[in-house]
Amino acid sequence: MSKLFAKKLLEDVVTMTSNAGTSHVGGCLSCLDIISVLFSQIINIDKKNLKFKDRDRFILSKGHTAAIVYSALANLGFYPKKWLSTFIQDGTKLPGHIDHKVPGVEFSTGSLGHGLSVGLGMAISMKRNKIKSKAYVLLSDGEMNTGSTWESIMFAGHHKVDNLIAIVDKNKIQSFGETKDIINLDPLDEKWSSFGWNTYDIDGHNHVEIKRALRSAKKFTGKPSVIICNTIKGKGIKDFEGKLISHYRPPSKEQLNDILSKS
Amino acid sequence: MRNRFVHNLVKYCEKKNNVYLLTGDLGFSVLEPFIEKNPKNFFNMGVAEQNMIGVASGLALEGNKVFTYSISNFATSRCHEQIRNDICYHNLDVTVVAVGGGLPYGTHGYTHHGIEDITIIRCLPNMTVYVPADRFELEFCFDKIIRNKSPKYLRLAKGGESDLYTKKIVTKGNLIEHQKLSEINILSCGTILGEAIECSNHFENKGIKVGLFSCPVISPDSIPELKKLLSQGKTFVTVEEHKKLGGFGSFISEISVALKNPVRIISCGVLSEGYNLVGSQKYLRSLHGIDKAGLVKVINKLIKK
Repeated sequence: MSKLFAKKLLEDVVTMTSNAGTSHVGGCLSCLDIISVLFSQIINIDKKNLKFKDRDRFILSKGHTAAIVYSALANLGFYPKKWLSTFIQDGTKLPGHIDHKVPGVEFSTGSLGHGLSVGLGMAISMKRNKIKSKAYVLLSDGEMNTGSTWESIMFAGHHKVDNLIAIVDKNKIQSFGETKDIINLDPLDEKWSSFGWNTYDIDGHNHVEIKRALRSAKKFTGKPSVIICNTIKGKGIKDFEGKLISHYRPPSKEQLNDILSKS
Repeated sequence: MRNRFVHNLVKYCEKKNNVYLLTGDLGFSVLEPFIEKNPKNFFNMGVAEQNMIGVASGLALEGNKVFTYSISNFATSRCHEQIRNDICYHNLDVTVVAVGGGLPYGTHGYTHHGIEDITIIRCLPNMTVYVPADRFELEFCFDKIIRNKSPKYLRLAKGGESDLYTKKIVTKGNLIEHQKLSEINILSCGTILGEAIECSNHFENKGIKVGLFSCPVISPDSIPELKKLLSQGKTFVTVEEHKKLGGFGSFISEISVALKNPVRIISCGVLSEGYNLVGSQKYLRSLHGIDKAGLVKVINKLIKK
């Protein structure tokens, strides 16, 4: 199920970024499998009742990869799929960084380092109000440079906010180089763990591992959980895989046709 | 004013259970009454203001009314992007409460001078800025704050401010008249009102009428009233304990220039050239010419012309 969904996401995201001639396809593709499993099998949201109390809250803190979430929501029927062809066009409902005015989107981000705090606030309130759902926040590994994210990690760990689940798309490349060369945070799981988090370190393209970790995190009590997903930036476009250029260059028509021809 | 704010908040919470107070590790001997009555609705977020604003936003998204508390610059500059993107863009019911607005921490040095906060906050979308002059104006603002479900900034001083009113303020709108409109008028914002009242009294004792109005609410909502007032007068002296650049005086000037017949505005505030001077609030007000003597001097010049 999530594999089929992933295929749709791949086609959409490559089409959207190629046609719009815009950046950030690399980060969309690195978290494609995570989004696919989350949206097709894990999170509880309802296109007919967007703000129902018991829904899971999902925040894309790496807001520059909005296209992947727009695609997921369109494929789930939150709005017509034809909206996707308006991505970043004049007057669009779908800006390049994720926006809360889009049906199904909880929160706008775009500046890194905001999402985890907001998810934390939601999780605290949900717990107080005995809402059983979870707050999921997807972060990038470059985002782990931000002090505000570590402020949230410290606070959530200290207060044992166990309905908060962070997911790190560890694609190892940030805007201007490799994360290990800019600020090496490895071993990342040990850092989160030392701040009081329950940690998972998995292959972020393996749907079985993603599902298993998410289901385990959902059940885990006493600590917030983080799933560190080891991923490949630009995964699915051969010339982009593991390359910095995938952060900037839109897929060419040839690359787009190649993806579509495999469908 | 700080204590009155907490007193009001505690009272308000008697009927509500969805009010949260977050502090950036400040509020010793001020916030305790709230903590005692509402322990589960209080969080010391630590010295981590960016996370404090983000968490406040998350709580507000869940339908809560949230107050954050810190010293002026830590409450605003340190986490400005979180206030902009998280609170204001999402139009959330969060009140950023700052103490030390202006120069009450004048002896502590430039890091503690809250003199640019109004400029950087009032330009944000959906935001209303409240700058009470004393505990009576605080009550006046608090009534509005509890009804306002959009982003708010409440700028307090340090505590122990003198009363400038003798009874509850009853007025429609956001403008409070102290002396009727005259040829020359003072428009005051915040605790500096005490100096403005003394200045106005000085001229009254000489038989010269100087109009005086306090404007504790800076927001688009105040504009119609201010437009009406400005269009009825000729000369207005604005005074604030804040940099002249972008503050209350700028707000009034922006309204004036949009009038068919713009009025004369003389803006008094913290001077850019002396922004980093250190000393007591009284001393710094005098240096910046925003104490009674400074204001008298400005108005005397206008009278002579």
